[in-house]
Amino acid sequence: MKKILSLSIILAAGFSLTSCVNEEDDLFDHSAAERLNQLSDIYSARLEAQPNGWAMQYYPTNEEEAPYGSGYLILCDFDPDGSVKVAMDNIFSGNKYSEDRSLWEVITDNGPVLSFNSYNKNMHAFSNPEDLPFTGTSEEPNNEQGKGAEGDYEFIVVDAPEDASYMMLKGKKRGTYNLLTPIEQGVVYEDYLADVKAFHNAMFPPEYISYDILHAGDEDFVFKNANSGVPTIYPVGGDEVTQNEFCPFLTTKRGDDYYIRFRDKQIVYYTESGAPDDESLQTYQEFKYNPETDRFESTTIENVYLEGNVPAKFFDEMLTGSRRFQMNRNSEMSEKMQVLYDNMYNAMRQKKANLQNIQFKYNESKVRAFIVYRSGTKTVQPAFDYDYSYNDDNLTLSNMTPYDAAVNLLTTIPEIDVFVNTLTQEFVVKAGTTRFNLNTIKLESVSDPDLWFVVTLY
Amino acid sequence: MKTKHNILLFAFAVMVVAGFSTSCSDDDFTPTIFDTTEYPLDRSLYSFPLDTFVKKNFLEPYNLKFIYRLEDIGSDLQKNLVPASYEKSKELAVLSKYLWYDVYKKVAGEEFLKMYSPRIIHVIGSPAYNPTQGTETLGTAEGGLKITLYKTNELDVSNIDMMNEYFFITMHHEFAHILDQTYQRPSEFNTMSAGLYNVADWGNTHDSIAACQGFVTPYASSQAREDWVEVLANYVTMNDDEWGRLLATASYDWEQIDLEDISDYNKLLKPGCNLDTIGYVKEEQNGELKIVRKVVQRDVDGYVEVNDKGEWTYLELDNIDGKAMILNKLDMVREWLKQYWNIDVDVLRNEVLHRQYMTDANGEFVKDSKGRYVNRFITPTLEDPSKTLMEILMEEVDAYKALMQ
Repeated sequence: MKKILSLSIILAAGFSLTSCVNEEDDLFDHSAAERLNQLSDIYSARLEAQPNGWAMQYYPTNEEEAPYGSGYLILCDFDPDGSVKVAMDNIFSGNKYSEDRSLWEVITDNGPVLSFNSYNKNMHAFSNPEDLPFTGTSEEPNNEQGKGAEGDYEFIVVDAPEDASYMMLKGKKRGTYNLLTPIEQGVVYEDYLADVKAFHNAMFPPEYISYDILHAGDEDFVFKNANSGVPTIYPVGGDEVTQNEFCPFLTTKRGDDYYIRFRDKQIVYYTESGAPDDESLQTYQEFKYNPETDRFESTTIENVYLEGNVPAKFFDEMLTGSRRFQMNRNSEMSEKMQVLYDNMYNAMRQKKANLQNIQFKYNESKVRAFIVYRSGTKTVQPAFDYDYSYNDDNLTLSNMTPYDAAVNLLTTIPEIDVFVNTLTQEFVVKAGTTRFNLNTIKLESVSDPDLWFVVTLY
Repeated sequence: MKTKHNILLFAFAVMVVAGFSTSCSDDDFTPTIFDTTEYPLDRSLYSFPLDTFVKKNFLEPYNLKFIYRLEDIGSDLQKNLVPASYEKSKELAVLSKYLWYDVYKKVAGEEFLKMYSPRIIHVIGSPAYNPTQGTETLGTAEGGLKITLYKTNELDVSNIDMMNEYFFITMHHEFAHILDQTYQRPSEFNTMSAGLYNVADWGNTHDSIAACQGFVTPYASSQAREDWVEVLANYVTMNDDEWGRLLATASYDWEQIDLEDISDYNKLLKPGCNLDTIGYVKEEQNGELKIVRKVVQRDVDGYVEVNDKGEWTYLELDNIDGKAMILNKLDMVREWLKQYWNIDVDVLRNEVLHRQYMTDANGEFVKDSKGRYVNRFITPTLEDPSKTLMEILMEEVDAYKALMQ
């Protein structure tokens, strides 16, 4: 009996020593629910911290098709009273400026989630399950009823630094990443959107015949048709159809600087030099416009940039491809050039000829300059031919020869003689305003930089 | 032997007690992490007026949460939905109170609502489309606790037919489901239209076809449980003219035939023609055209046979008296409401209709020049002609703006 009792007591002692030996210490001071609630308050405060709100680069889905996968610039101003003003100007608002106010909240879902949880005609345009009238064709209309564009209106807060310098949100259902950047105080939302739109249209003109070049590591890409926000991108020398990838981007403004940013990170091709170990140098996504270099430069990698086509090359392609360039009295030109033009204009007026414009056209390996004027009801176009050569950034016009009866003008109106002979020289071919928009070309005299004029693609 | 047995038992007891007394007893239970303090609503919030209204009129009296901020996790995750706007949520909140809760409070009493009211009404802005069927869900009721109402952003106070179809019928429909889940409808109801229900294809059933088969709506023809609540919801919200037209339609046999080309139908439309015999064109979800018409005596070529007085003969082929069937179903609903909740369905209906339509000083319905009932919500009130009823109802919410900071 004593043995049994002793054994029992020993066993009981063994239980007490082994019980709860593996109990874990608390890792956090507060429970998960409390921490989630605290985060909700913190992120709400950071959204409210920007007094003039945020520019949100919104992508409804990760689809590789417009408009579902394209980007839309939405401006949001989060008020501490729980309301948010949302503004935009894009195809979902009928291409007009639109503003609406609704409710917002950072809710505690599986994590902190920014929810636009009362209807806003702008934010919820992308998630409304109604047909989109601007998709499809009359023969094959897309019917999205029941789905809509399938965009998100709830976003997981992925990154929200303390200084509220930016915020990164991830669509809860579709998983797209949407960057928020602050809008400066005092900026009116409608003006901001108009400003960005104007810049975007200036740098990526609609129906633009030229293209830009994206330099990414060891490979160059043609970058064109970018006005819609979905450019055609393919390797230089490659196939436009089979090698094009869906790479939507958005244009924004921060302070005085303009940025473009792709929806997705793009890979840098280091085919010759080999990829660096530093992962941050292996992909790029955002560019900042540098007006001095007239380039969009990657914000993370030095040798990745986007620049417009070479002006001289473009000028030659257009001219020899049966397009014309034109200048008139209101075209941009230097003072010296303006004097020559005005002298010609006034002299012709005295002869009852109303000078309209000067047109340049390629004709049988020569450049032909037409002096277009109206005499009474008739339009007359005497022409002067030049030998033409183009090399790198320059073009040269030489050996001016009047065509047919135009020779008479040289004696009857000496000012025309002066003007057409002034054109007989070498010019540096530059962009009129920017290489991203070569619809205007500047011809600047090599020997006299104060002699220049701008021609417009016609 | 017995002693040894007792010793073993004692030893076992010691071990058990030791085990219990040394097991993880160091859990330190703290007070709940959830803040259970009742805080007043934040008066600085944009939504303070509506939040206060729903708290005072739904939460406090009936323990009902009127949720107008879309809770994605509480919605149908298979569908793309958007929230209701704040303004439309206000409208629906005041209408829910005026046309539903205040009605039942008056007719059935406050205790009835406290006991049987849903605990959650979740309003959603967009429709809930069912793309594969070409239909949309107007509302859902779950487990007697929650009602979800869709299409709130399309609420149009000036269109009482639309409001009835998308909201008020839905409210009474879903509420009837809740009551049905408490005291189920009589089992004999389920067999009244046995063999006629069509859960998959009810969306292609024309109103007249459904009526002549004894269903108040095509949706009622989907299944017995829907049939039951549709009778209640539609009777309570239909005015006498509408109900009369339904019964009149149900009194005839109707048929549906294929139509090859719309021009064939248009050729029949001549001055003086009778749509009873020609019928009405209907386009199905698959784009096919049908003609829905009353069943009349026709010759072998399909032309109506008329006697020398120019009269034709209506036929009864399916042995179903649609009108009688509908009225029988209504009687069962009437009896059920009375038996279990002491509610007179005609009193209920009268209360609903008087709140929807204008009446004169004698309580008689006012009709316009075309003989239609007049929408009370958009008509200047007798008490204050400078305001419509809807404006007065909305003031109940806007009054809380004065308390905002």
